[in-house]
Amino acid sequence: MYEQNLEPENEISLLDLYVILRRNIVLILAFTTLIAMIAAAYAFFVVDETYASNADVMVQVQTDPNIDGSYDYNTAQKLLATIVEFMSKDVVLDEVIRDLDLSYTTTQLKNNLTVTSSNTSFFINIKYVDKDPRLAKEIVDSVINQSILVANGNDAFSTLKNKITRTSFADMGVYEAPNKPLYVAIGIILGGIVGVGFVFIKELMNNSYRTKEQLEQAFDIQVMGTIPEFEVKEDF
Amino acid sequence: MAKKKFSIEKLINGERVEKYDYLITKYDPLSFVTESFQKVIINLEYANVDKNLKVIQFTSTLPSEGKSTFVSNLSYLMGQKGQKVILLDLDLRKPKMNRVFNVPNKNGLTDYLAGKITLDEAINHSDDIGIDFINAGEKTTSVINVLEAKKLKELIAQLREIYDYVLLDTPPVISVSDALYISKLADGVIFIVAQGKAKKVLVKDAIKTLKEYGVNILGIVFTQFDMKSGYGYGQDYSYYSDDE
Repeated sequence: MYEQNLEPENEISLLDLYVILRRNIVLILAFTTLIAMIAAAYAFFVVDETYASNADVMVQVQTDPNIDGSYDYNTAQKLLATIVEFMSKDVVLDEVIRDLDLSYTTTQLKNNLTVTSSNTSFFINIKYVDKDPRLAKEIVDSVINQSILVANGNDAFSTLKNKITRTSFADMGVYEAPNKPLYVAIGIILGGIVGVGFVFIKELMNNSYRTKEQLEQAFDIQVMGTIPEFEVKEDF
Repeated sequence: MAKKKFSIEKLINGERVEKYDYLITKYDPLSFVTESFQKVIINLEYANVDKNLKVIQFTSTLPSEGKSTFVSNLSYLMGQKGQKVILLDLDLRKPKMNRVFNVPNKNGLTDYLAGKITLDEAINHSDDIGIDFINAGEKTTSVINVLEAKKLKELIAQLREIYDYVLLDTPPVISVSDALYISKLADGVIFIVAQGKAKKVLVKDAIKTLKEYGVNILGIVFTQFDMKSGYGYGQDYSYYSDDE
């Protein structure tokens, strides 16, 4: 019988892994470079650059003049939360669109608008991200202006009347995204992973003879020699 | 087995850039590779103590497992040892021997068998390598007919008288049945397996086929072994290597 079913090479050691990786280093590097380049090209040439602008308003909380320095914490928090929501409601954003004569829809505005408040202060931050740094600034300012106008002018929002005070004006938008070095870094990491994965799959599929011992085990035939792979001398 | 150190082609296709006329045993006689060839010869001599193995066939599972490179280097070393060796290119479909010797593939075996030339005209001598060889010759569509020809049998019988060794380079076993026909003419077969090339199933299949035909497999030669692959062997290398 020349066939043996015992194939101990099914086990794979740490050294084998290292050997596989080293043998395919060119392939792995190629994958890494390729995917990093794709990521870089995407970050530098495909994705639109966006700019963020932001400004703050402060919420005026009613204090009881009889008790010095007192206020209702619960009501204050609710007021803060209401204003945060209010500023990104259609009632305000419609006015912004009309004010700046924008071609955006309110949904588009909402997607790029972030209104945040903190638990520890009465400030609300309004941030808008846009491809145009100037427009980002204008939208932030307009959101604040229109919020104040609607709050003060519309009786439906009487609870918000005179509660919003602008504390800063928006600056020209600053660079926000894409984070190019991050894209490249992710590309490199992803490329490395894909490369290594590919190499292992390739090795797994390659069920061929790797050592003289495997040959000797498989066939009852003498292995007369092992001829190394050699390189043609450069000067030849 | 010979490959260029670096090429874009290799990088992209992972293909080996063959350079058949580079005889490492001749150009780098002190190398470890040459030493490995010497070992094969010693093993062959052990297997052939009675000197009854004269016609030796070389085949493999798949193409480009290093047959031609192996045979040419082996024949060179045999020639160096004062053996009278002739090399026959019986790979009539994809002849390569002419590339080893850097000559055009003409006035070869098929021409001789067709009666176009005499045996003397068919036998070339390479001063460079120091052995005789016969090219495959003009391509023919009836390869099997040629291989089964009585005249080929007679030719080999004739060469057997003249030479110490008649080495037959033949096509791989898997793709065509040529190697099986040729095996009837040979005293034994040396089977070549390249590292990491043919799937195990295919190699087993090829050897099984040969055995079923009652072929005398003298041994296996493991070629294209990557020294840096870490599958053992590595330590020896530094000891032998003198010019890395």
